[in-house]
Amino acid sequence: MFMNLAYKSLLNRKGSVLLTLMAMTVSICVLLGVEHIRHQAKDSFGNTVSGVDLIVGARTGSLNLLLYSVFRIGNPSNNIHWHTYQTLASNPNIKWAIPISLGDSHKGYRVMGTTPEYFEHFSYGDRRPLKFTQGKAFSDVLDLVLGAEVAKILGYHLGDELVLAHGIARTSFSIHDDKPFKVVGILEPTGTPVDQTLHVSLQGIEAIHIDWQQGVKMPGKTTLPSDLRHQDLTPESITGIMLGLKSKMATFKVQRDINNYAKEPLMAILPGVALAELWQMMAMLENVLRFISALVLGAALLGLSAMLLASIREREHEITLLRSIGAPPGFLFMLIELEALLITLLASIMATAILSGSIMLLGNIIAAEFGIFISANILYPSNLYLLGIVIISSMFACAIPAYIAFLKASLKKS
Amino acid sequence: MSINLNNLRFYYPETPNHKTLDINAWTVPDNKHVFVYGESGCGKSTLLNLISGMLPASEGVVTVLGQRLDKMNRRQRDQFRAKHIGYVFQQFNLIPYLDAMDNIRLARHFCKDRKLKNLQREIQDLLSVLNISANDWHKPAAKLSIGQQQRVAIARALINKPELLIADEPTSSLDQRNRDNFMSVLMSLAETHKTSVLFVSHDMALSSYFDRIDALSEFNRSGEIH
Repeated sequence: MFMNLAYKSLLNRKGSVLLTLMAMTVSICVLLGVEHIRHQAKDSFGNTVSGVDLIVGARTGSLNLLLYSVFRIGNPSNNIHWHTYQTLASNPNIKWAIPISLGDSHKGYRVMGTTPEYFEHFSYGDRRPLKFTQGKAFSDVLDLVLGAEVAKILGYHLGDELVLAHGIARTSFSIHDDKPFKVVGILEPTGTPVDQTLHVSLQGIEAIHIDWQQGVKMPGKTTLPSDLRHQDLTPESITGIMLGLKSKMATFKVQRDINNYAKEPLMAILPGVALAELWQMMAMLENVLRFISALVLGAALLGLSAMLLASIREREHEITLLRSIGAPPGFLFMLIELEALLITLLASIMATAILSGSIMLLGNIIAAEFGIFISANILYPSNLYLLGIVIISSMFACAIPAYIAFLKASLKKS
Repeated sequence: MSINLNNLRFYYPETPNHKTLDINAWTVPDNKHVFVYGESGCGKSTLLNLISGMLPASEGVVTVLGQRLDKMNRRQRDQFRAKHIGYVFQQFNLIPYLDAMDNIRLARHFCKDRKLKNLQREIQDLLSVLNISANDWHKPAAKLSIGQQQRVAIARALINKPELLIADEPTSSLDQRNRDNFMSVLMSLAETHKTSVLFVSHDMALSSYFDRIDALSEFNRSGEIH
């Protein structure tokens, strides 16, 4: 009966109830959406690299090393000698060591020189390995493997030839146009910076710089691509090294050994720790987003409260009537609270449905366009907890109109 | 005695010198139908609120159906009202968005002692006696004519078989034909249910239906009009 009364009373005020319901739905949508994206961003951020135990570079800040080695943002402070790589690679604690070499670009996308083992050992997300949608890893000097986004945005296909630019500026005047690369593989989208990277062999990087000195091409010297195979293309230096260890237990020992390496100033970071540090720096932005969505919710709750308060004015006869048939004033309080609860619950359900529905519908498009994977499952504990808070705060916000109904029912002046 | 008032005073706490009601002694015997005549604003509503227990008396004794309302707390008075008193207002007797059946059920809802068994049957019988056709039982109350609404209100007031029926100008929004119809069903149902009736109105034309006629201004000594 109680439920029936609240339900029919809401139905009787369709117009204002519907608008309030929509306001609540939108605000809960915003709240859940922001929380979900934050959650997902944090996850995908933390999943940018996995399976790599240590990243080694020239001595610098750990964030700088992480940014240039994993996110291809910023510049390395210095290079590492090739024999340092060889020393590390032969360390008995180290299972594999992948050298990386950065510094060139193609139409604003970074080029990374590495070895074919990179495609075997580098993984992202929950230990997901890199996979090829087309082609395979590079094997020849001037072979090139594209990240998914590069291939998509620039419209490259297997077999296409392209030239790299020296430096990382979007428009570069020094082009390695004498040695074009051939696309031999395209990677699957990963939602990580891998998608925005062009991968070539270390020898390839070496080859395009063979006639260059100090970042400028020496006039008159031209090594033809066909001659490259006869040259020694072992690099003198590289930018960084990704390490996989035989045992996780050795991580800190190896890290310490590298940090104390005597022949060259080196630094080793644990990617997970550095990623967490980086995320910490974004906490401010995160909090601003949360704060704004809390304000949106607050506005909707005030709207709900105002709607119920206005309804009490037009329901004075109803209150008198309910009192005359023996309804205690507390019943009126509970009735208003129940109406608020019904609206909030319905708004929560609608918001959840709308949000996961639109993620399901748009998820593939977002993944294809932006390489961002958003899960349609938004009902995990922290969001349920958030919905709980929404419901409790709506109960608090509507205690005001409920109390006024209570006063009216007690025939007290209000 | 259905109602027995003794040295009853009512004033709002803010204005203790301005007594809305000041009644020395006034009674309504069992099974009597009493007409109280009063112009609007002479304390009629306050009197009815005191007898039905919606307002507590400031001073004095209020005995209804042998029970001291002035000794009860609000919860007990609410329960007492739900169980023993039927109430019909001038208008707005029904929750507009509930149908006749639900409106009557709601009255039973607050009367904790009565069983829900046979409720449907009881409601239908009452509505038939009150000449509400079955087509109208499930319409929202707001869709019924005023005459129908007032008759459903009688059913609502009588569903818990109260010993006392209070009617506060229940006919003033009705036309002549509906008023006569309303009065005759009300009085005959009160007769069959052996219910005392306290009927308040400013319309002396209705007094012919009653056993006794009192003017509020005669037994309320406050004499002040506000």
